[in-house]
Amino acid sequence: MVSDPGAPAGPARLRPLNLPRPARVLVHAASALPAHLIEDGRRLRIERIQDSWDVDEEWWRDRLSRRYYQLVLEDGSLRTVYQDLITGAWYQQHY
Amino acid sequence: MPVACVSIPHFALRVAILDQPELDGTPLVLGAPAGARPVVLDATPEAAARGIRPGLGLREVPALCPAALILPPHPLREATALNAIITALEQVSPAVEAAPERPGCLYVDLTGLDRALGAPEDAARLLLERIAPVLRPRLGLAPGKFAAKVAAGGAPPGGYRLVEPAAVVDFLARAPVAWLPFPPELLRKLERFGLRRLGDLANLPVTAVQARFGPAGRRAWELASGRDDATIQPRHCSEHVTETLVLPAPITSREMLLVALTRLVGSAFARPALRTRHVRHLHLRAEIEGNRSWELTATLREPGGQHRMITALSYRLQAIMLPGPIETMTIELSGLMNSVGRQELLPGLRSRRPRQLAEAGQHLKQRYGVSGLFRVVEVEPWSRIPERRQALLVYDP
Repeated sequence: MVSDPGAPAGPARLRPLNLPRPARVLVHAASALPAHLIEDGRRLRIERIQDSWDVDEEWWRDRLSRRYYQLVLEDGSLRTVYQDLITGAWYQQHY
Repeated sequence: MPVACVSIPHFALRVAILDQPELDGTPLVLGAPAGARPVVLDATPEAAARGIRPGLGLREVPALCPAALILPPHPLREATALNAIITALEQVSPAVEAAPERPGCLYVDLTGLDRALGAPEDAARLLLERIAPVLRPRLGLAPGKFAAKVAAGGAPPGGYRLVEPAAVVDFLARAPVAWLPFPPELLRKLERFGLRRLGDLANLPVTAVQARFGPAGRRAWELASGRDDATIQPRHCSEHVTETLVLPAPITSREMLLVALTRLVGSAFARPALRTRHVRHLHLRAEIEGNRSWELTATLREPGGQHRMITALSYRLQAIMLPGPIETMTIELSGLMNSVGRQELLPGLRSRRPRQLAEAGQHLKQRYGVSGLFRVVEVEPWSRIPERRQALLVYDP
């Protein structure tokens, strides 16, 4: 963060931050839980799911329903992915 | 017979009878909770025989049936009873689903259990034995969830009804369309078209039904035709910690409630299961004088420890009106995860060179027309949707 320069703000000057990026996730056939994450053409095994939570918001306009998973990959690195429960698509996003 | 449906009509009232068996046979009426419109929510058959129906004003009940007893809802008692039933049924099959839209309706997946449970009649009896007879459970056994629910609806109290796979279509054909799990508007539309029985719907071409009623119509046609591939969703058994505090004297003030909550949360976090762990969800239940109950569920935007939990609870309690003196409090903490340290930026490490940064931005702007620099601004820092919390704003020195 830097100090406010006092320049006028407006929607055109705003850029979104931390937008979800499409992710390729392979799920277990039985449990439907994430099993592998495909990243840069590499198939990374998910060692364990550290946490999962649901975000259901804005049902009064464009309903948003996501199930987030915090994953520990086989190399020990962390990723946060979510499944859009309306379209079924997977995304990666910092939470 | 892969699916069993256990149905307990008038669930809230039958659970009240479970606590007070002497009420069995008395005309019972379930009233609205405090603060809501005073109408009848449910009535036992004894009360219904005297003309008491859901939606009727509570003031009219004594005039219609002076012996009727009006009971307030007791969500804590109902949730405890439902959990006990699910746990008992899980002894027979691990896949038990409580239908969210209808309290007291449970589905049990019996796939692959034929050899363990024996004939369908034996399985039905075994399941019914797990439920207190005073609840008057009805059981239906059929190849799919919908057919099993319709079968349970036609079973006698404490009894069961079997529907063989080959007989599903004929069995469903006689059932009224009101059994379909769809909003009343769609059911009324079907009836306006003269489709009163499921057989009337199943006899139509699926394309015509879908063209007139959309995707819901197609689903209704599939169910009416015995095509039901809905799977049973067993409850998610997440790790949780429960702590109960019986108060020495009923609490009436908000300040005392907060003191008691602080102690309750402190006891919960003293448990080994919560050591070095954070919590995301909390469910607070309170038993209130006069055999009533009250509950609060909250999800924190970010998991927190003991102090964050107390702050979140005290903030939420400011906005509520206590329905009466509290006798017992129970807190259930779930969504447990390892605690994560958060390193804030130390004051001494803040950028000391805003002037140099502004100069660099001006040079870039002179050369390329734009500075290409952005600063992070908070938009909705409280949002649970990550991309709404912050945005980049053009940094124009």
